[in-house]
Amino acid sequence: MSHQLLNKIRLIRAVARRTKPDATWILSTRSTLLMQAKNSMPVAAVEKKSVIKEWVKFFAPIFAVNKWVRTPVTAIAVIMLAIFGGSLLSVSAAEKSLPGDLLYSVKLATEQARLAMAKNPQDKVKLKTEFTERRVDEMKQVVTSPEAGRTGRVIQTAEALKRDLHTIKQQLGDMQGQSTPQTVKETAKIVDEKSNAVVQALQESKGGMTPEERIKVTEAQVAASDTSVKAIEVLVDTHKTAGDVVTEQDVADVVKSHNEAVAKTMAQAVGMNPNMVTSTVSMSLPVTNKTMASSTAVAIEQVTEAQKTLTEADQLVAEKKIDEAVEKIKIGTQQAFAAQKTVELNDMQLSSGTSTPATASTSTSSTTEGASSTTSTQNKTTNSNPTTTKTP
Amino acid sequence: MTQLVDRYLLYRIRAKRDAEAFAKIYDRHVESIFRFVVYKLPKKEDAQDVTAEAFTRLWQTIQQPKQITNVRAFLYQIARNLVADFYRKFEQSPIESIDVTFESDNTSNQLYTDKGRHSEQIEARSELSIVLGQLDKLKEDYRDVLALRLIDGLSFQEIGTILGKEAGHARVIYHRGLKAIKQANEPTP
Repeated sequence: MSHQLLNKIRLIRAVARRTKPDATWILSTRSTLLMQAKNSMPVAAVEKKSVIKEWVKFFAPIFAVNKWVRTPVTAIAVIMLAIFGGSLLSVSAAEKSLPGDLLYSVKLATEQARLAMAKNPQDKVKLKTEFTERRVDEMKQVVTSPEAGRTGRVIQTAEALKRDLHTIKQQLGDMQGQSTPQTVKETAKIVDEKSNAVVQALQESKGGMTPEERIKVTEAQVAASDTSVKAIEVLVDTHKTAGDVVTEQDVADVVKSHNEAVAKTMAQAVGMNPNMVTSTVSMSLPVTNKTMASSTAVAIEQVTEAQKTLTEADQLVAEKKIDEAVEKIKIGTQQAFAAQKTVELNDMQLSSGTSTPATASTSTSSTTEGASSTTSTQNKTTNSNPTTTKTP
Repeated sequence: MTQLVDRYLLYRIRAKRDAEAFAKIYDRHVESIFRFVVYKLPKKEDAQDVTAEAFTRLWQTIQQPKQITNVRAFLYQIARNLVADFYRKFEQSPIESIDVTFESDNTSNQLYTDKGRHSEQIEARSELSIVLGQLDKLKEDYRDVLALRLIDGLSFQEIGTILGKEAGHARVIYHRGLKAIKQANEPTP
C-alpha cells in the first residue's frame, strides 16, 4: 500500500512540476517588476556603513552558531562527552597525580574501584601489591619535588603505603582458607618479593629526605617487611598442610631472600648516615655529640644483634626448624628496623635541637656494620630517645 | 545553497542598487510560487495576479531596512497570505475552490503545453484530483505542508517559516498528512 502511495506521490510531483506559467506572462511580469524596481530604487549613492551592514547580513546566518548548538543532537553529544569523556580525562589526569594533589583522591578511588572489580582473593592481593608499587613510585617523585609542603606529602604517601600493606597482610590471611595451595604459594611468593622490593626502593628514596620524613618512610618499610614476614608465615603454613606444593626449598629460598633484603637495607641505612660514622671520631665534642655517640652505640648494638638473629634464622631453616626460624626472622627484622629508627631519631633531634649536624657530617666513607656486639631491644631504643631530647 | 544565492542577490540589491538582481530573484522563484498558488485559486489569471503581487510585496519589503533571512520562504509566506486575502475578499472557502481549479484546468489547457503527452496528463490529472481530493478533507496546513514538501522539495525549516510554525511541527504535520492519505487510500482497492 505504501508503495502505491509512493507511486502516486511521484506522479503528483511529475505532473505538478510540469505545471508552468505562460512564458509570455513570465516575461511581461518580469519587465514590469524590473521597471518598477528601477523606478523606486533610491538614487543616492550607498553609504559605506550600510554596505558593511549588508555584508554582515549576508554572512550572519553562517555565524548563527546557537541555531545548531541548540539542536538535540548537539546537546546529547555534549552530555555524553561530559559523562564519559570527562570522567576518562579526569581519571587519566588523576593517574598522574601525587599525594597532596587535588585529584589524588580520585586516583585512590579508581584503585578501589579496580579492586572491587577483581574476582578472586589472589587477584585482589596482586592488584594491591601493584598499587603499593605505585605508592613507591609516588614517593620517589614526591622526594624530587622541592616544594614547601613536601613533608606532608611524604607522610601522606607513607600512610597510604602502610594502609595498602596492612590490607595485603589481611588479604593474605583470608586467602589461606579459600584458595588452593598452589595459588596461595604463588601469591605469597609475589607478595614477599614485592614487599622486599618496596623496602629496598624506599631505602633508596630516603637519600634526599629530612630526618622527620625518613622516620615516616621507615614506618612504611616496617609495614612492608611485616607483610613479607606474613607471606613467609603463610608459605610455612601451606608447607605444613600441603608439603608437596610448598617444599622446604621454597621456604628456605624465601627466608634467605628476606634476610638478605633486610640485611642490605639495614646496612644502607646505617652506612648512609653520616653522623654515625663521624660520631666515633668526635667523642670529645660537647654534650649533644656525646648523646649522639651513645645513641649511635645503641644502634650499632642493634644492628649486630639483628644480624645475629637473622643468621640464626638461616641456620634454623637449614636444620628444618621452620617455626623457630620464622620467629627468629620476626625478631631479627624488628631489631633491624629498630636500629634504623634509632639512627633516624638521633638525626632528627640533631637537626631540630641544634644546628650542628652539618659541621659534623664531613666524612662518609666507612660503614659500621661490624661494630661491637651488645644486646638491646626495641624498647630500649625508644626509652633512650627522651633522654637525648632532654640534653640540649 | 539556494539560500546563499538569494542572500547574495539581496546584498546586490541593497548595497549595489542592482535592479537586475531582483529580476534574478524573480527568475528563480516565479515558477514555484505560481505552482503553489495555482491549485489554490479558481482561475489561472488569479494565480498570475497573486504571483505578481507577491513579488511586488517582496520588492517593497526589500526597500525597508527589515532583514529577510530566507527569500524563498518569505515569498511563499506572502503568497499564502495573498491567497487567504483573495478568499476573504470573495467570501469563499478554499476547499470548494479546488474542484473549480480542475474545472478551469480542463477548459483552459494552457497549463500543459506538451500535447504529445495528453493521455498521460489526463491520467495524471485524474490521479492528482483523487489525491488532492483526499487532501481536501485534510486541514489547509496539511495540504500546504504536503505540497511544499512533495512538490517543491522545501526543507521543514522553510515550511515552518512559511506556516509560522516550528520546523519540528511542520515535520509532524507532514507525517500526519501522509498517514491521512494512506488511510484514505486503503479502503479503495
